[in-house]
Amino acid sequence: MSFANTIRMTCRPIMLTFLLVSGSAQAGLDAELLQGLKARSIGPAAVSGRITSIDVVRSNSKHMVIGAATGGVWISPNGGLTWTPVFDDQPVASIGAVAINQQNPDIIWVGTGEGNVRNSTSIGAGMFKSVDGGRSWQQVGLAASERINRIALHPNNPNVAYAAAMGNLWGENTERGIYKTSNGGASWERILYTDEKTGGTDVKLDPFNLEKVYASLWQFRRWPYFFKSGGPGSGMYISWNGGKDWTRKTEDDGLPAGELGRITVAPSAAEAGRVYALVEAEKSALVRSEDGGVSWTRVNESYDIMSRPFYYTEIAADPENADRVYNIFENLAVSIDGGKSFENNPVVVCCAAGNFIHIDNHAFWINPDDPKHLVIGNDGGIGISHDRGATWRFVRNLPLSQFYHIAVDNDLPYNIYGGLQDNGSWRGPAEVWETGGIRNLHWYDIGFGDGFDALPDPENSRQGYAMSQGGNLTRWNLDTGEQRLIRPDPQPVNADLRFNWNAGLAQDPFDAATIYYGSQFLHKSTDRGNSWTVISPDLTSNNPEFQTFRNSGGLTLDVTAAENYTTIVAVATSPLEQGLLWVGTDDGRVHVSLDGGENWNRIDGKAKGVNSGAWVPMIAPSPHEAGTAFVVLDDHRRSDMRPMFIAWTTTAPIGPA
Amino acid sequence: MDNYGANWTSLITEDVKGYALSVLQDHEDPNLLFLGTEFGLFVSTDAGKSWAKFTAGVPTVSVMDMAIQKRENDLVLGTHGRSIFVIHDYSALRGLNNDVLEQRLQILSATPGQQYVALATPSTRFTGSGEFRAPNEDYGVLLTFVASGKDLPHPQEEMEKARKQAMRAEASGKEERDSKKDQTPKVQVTVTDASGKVVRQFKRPVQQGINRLNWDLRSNGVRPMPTAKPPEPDADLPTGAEVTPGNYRITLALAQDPGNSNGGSAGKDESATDVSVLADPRPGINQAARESNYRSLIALQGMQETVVSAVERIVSVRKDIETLSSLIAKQASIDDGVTTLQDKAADLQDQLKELELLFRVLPETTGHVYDDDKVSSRISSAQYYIGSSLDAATPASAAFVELAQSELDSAVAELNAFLSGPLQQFRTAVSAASIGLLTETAAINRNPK
Repeated sequence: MSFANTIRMTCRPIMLTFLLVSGSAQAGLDAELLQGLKARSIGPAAVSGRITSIDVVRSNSKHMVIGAATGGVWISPNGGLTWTPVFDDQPVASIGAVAINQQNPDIIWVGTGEGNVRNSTSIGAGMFKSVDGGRSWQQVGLAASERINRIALHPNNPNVAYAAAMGNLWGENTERGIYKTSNGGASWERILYTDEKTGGTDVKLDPFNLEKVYASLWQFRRWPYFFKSGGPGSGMYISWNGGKDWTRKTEDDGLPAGELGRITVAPSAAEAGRVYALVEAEKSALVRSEDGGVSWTRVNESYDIMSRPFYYTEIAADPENADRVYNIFENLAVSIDGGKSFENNPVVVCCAAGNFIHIDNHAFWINPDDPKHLVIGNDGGIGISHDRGATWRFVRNLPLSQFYHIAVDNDLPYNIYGGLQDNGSWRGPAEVWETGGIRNLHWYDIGFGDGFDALPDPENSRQGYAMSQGGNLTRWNLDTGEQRLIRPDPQPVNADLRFNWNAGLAQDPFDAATIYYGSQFLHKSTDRGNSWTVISPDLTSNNPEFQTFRNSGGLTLDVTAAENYTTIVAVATSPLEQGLLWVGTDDGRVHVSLDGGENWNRIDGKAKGVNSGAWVPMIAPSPHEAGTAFVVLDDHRRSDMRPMFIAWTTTAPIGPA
Repeated sequence: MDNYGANWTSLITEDVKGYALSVLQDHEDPNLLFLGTEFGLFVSTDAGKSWAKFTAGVPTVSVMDMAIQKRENDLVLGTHGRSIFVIHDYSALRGLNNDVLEQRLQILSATPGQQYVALATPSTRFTGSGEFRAPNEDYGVLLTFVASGKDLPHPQEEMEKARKQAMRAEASGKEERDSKKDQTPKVQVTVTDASGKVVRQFKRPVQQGINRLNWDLRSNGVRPMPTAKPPEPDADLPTGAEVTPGNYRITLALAQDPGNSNGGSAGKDESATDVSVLADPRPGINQAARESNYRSLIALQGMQETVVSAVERIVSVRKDIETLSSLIAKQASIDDGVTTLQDKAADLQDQLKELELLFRVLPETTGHVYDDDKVSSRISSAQYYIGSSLDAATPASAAFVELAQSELDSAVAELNAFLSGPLQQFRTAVSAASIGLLTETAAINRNPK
């Protein structure tokens, strides 16, 4: 086949007028007057979504506050039975830390921008504070910090707060490190900082000495094609005077040797002087101190003591038994011998149906007055235990699902399809001709893993497709239960296929059996995925510098297909002209084919306010004009957070004569 | 590079916040664009010249993908963190601009009213508070309309406070108004069928900007039975039988804006649209059978109306006799006839009570009492029977209707006999005794139009 960058000069030219945008700005709609057009939240809450932080009022352990990775702040006044979102009108939705003032629980501090810096993480806008129990919020500084991972509040002085500001994930900046306010957030002092590559990841006060502060700095950086944890900026620090002066703890004090990565510290409330810490290093370790952090002993260096520190580095010391300590990571592990050995909680388990609680834990709360009462937050929501983790209640009414893609069918009523971060792919109704509303039980699990594009078969909505990470594609069928793998084979190009974490998939509007799927090539199947052909050359830059995912991670390798790059992320089919295809890549290429993939034309260009090389997450062909497509450009992965979105129009001939 | 006559045009303005993730163009109005960013949903009705953040029910959240369900004109948001939001029938946004938003009253769109019989949801019936339950769209025709005027509430809390303050300030200089009554205008909804006959009327609150209301496909029902507490004078009728599939017309009416009333052309105060009611496609019941079913229900509503009239009359007569009794008591010891009248009044009250008991259980009767033999129970049994299906009556259900009719006939006959007999005689006697007036004694019409 021919991949010449030429165009067959045939057929009708299409002239466009409606999109010729004049330079003059004009008054937009008065959004307040659209309030009557109320959107309906339909869930699902079946699998909930990632939780980053939990705090509970000590004098009333029924009053819970949680922060979601990308779903705002929620409050339950009744032990987790019902929840109300309280952060909906704020400028950002990503939460890194929540902290309640225990003397006056109406004061709630929220650090925005989560610290679990996976590829799909969102961004924050600094510190927020409510003095009325979450009814209203004020932005109180650190707006340029992008993400706040931890907050430590002085238990007796409501004006004193510390924040671990991680700063920029996709670039460098200076508003990062450990910050302290002594005036309730009116101003912040940066009390610990190394360089513009390094952020604050943890800060804790010693329960026996409130002027003593434990903190850790972490050097980390993400690129679209690589993640690096660790570097000379990372380290563990202790201050004995409320953050004025700091002592850096090192290998000489018993910490692991070499450059360090992410560190978290947990001083025991059960025994003065006992402190636990997880330290990421070449040889990561759980370390323990008996002298308040002056000296440390490496008590556990097993291979899985820190399996994914960039995503979960959290340790919790039991408030009554100094030898009981929890490691909160992929699993929930508990030690009763001061960290020497751990046992995984048997019901917080991946992945078969029937398990109680989702893995991938980020947030943990132990009731200080009843240590059997635990609350865990993970990629699948919230679990509550009253018997130290033997049994759990899953909170089934927090609609925090993280969709990557969404699709609808034409049934009556119609169904909605989509895939979720770490929670598979799902199909559920937009409404039900039933008496009890749309419930979790109406949602069908149609794909495993992380879920992305999920599509119905146009001829039979009881079957369809679901994409999962690493290029996995299945054809699911609700009548047979089958989820058959239909991942394209590498023939005939004989190359390693590079599939994006969230690879482009599209249905052909003119042929129900035909689908398109993108690696670095565009693949086409005309038999619902049973066989595939490659219908394009490599449509990416194919730049080897961008193909480093195999070694991604830094100190701790983390190769999960999340850093696959130079790949196709958007595939769009014209609803007007058969064979008119658009393809967008993660490295900024946009191609169009007018002839079903015989010929490809690169059309990415520069418009005002648009970066070249920016990710192309979506191309929406106009349903009115074949020669128009709307192209979204997203360059946040190179730290440019501006919105970019263009209309691509051509006056060139489109389609067959 | 060669992009053969292609143009790239940035459609971003400063109104948009958050890096962009998804975009869709409406399938009817090319100027209507939806843009999802990391911080929410933005909408443009002028092809990207200006954008507004869409905050009606959509929080700040990453709108990672969107889909349009074309038949429904629904926008479905796949958010990365707050699950799914559906903006049902967004078609009012087509061609929308601030001029449209300044119309006094204008219908912008109406969905078809899709009928369906609701299945009981599987699993738990009584869920407690912890179960996630998302609502359906309201059942029936969803009407989207715009209204404006300072006499209407503003949807935004702070703006509404300011509006109320301004109104109070304006009112304070004038005569004291009857401030107890809520003066906020309501929109009057009138539904007519294909022949122009009014099938339903009701009122709904209205605010500035986009409004929504739904017609639940019900016809007007029967006014309630008299109770101890009189109904609100302008209360809507209760709902009656659900109409049959077909074409209807909905007219909205809103009093003219008093702020503009001197201007003469203060904008429309009436707006109408045709709507269709669609049959539930599943049960396979034909239109003739549905219409027969509807007629049966309307006939039963007619019977119910007769019952209400009868009970209203009984209640009214009882009140009158009570009044008379007290008047007679004041004239006691004047002559012997008074005692006779008092005895007669008491006797009539007993008879009236017995008559009312033919029709219904007396209000505020304690406990659950046997009531199968009341006329109102006969009617509601038949209503339950007929209304449990969309289909034409069966011989069994028809028998229940006939039973209700015959019991109604005999009860009304008994009442009319009382009115024209003992009550008429009493009226004459009272009249002769020159004591007060008494309700007329004309017969109840069994078949009001």
